[in-house]
Amino acid sequence: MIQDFTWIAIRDIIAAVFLASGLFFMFVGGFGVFRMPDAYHRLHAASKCTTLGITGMLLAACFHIADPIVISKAIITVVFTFVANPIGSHLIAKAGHHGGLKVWNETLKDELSLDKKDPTMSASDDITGCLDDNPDATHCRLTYPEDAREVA
Amino acid sequence: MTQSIVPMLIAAGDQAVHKVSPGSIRDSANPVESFMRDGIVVIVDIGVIAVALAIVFCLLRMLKGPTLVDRSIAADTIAMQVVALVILLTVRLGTLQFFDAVLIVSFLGFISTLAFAQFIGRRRSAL
Repeated sequence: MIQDFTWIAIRDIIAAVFLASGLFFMFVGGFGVFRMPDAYHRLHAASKCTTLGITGMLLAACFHIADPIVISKAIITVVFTFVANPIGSHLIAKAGHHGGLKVWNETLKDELSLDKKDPTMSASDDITGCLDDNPDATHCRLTYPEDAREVA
Repeated sequence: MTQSIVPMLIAAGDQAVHKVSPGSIRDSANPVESFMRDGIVVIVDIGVIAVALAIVFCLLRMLKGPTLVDRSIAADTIAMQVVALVILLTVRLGTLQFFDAVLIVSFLGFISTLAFAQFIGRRRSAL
C-alpha cells in the first residue's frame, strides 16, 4: 500500500491541491468583481485573487508536467505577475481617485482625500498646485504637444 | 513560402509534444497514479466551467459597470482568466505548444491596464 505512493503519484497529488486552490481563487475573483459594491472593493477582489490564482495554477502545471521549459517559464510568469499586478491595480486606483471616483457610502475612512484637503501634507493640491482651474500647473500634466498648446 | 513553413511548424509541434511526459497521457498500472491522473482530468474539466462562469461575471460587470474604472478592472480580470484557461489547456492536453501564450497574455494585460490608467488619469474624470 505505502509503496504505491511513488514520486509521480505524490507529484500529481500536490498538483491537484495547487490546481484546486488556484481555481477557487480565480472563481472568487471573478465573482467578487461582479458582486462588490464599489470600484475599490472590486479592485481589491480582482488583484489579490488573480495573483494567487495564477500562481497556484502555474505551480500545479510545474508539478504535473515536470519539465525544465515549463518550470522556467512558470517562474518568469510568477515573478512578473507578483510585480506587475499590484502596480497596475495601484495605478488604476490612483487614477480613479484623482478623477473623482466615489467611494461606497459605508466606507469608514478615505485618508487620501483628507490628505489632499490638508495644506500641510505633500499630497495636498495647494502644495503640488494640481488644481483643475490652475493654468500654470504644467508639471502635473503629461507633456504632449496638445497640452502645451492648451496652456499657451 | 507558406507551403514550406506549415510542415515545419507541424514538425516543431510534434517535437514539442514528444519531448515532455505529462501525467495525463501516461499509462501506469499503479492504482494511486491512475487515480490521480483521472482526478486531475476531472478537476480541470470542472475548472474550465468555473473560469468560464467567472468570465461571464466579469462580462456582466463590464456591461453594467457605472464608471470606466469598473470596466477596465473587468478587462484586466478577463485577461488573467484567459491565462488561467491556457494553463488548464496545457495541463489537460499535456503539450507545450500553448504555454508561451501565458507570458504573452500576462504582458498584454499589464500593458492594457497601464494604458487604461493613463487614459483615466489624463481625462481627469473616472466617469
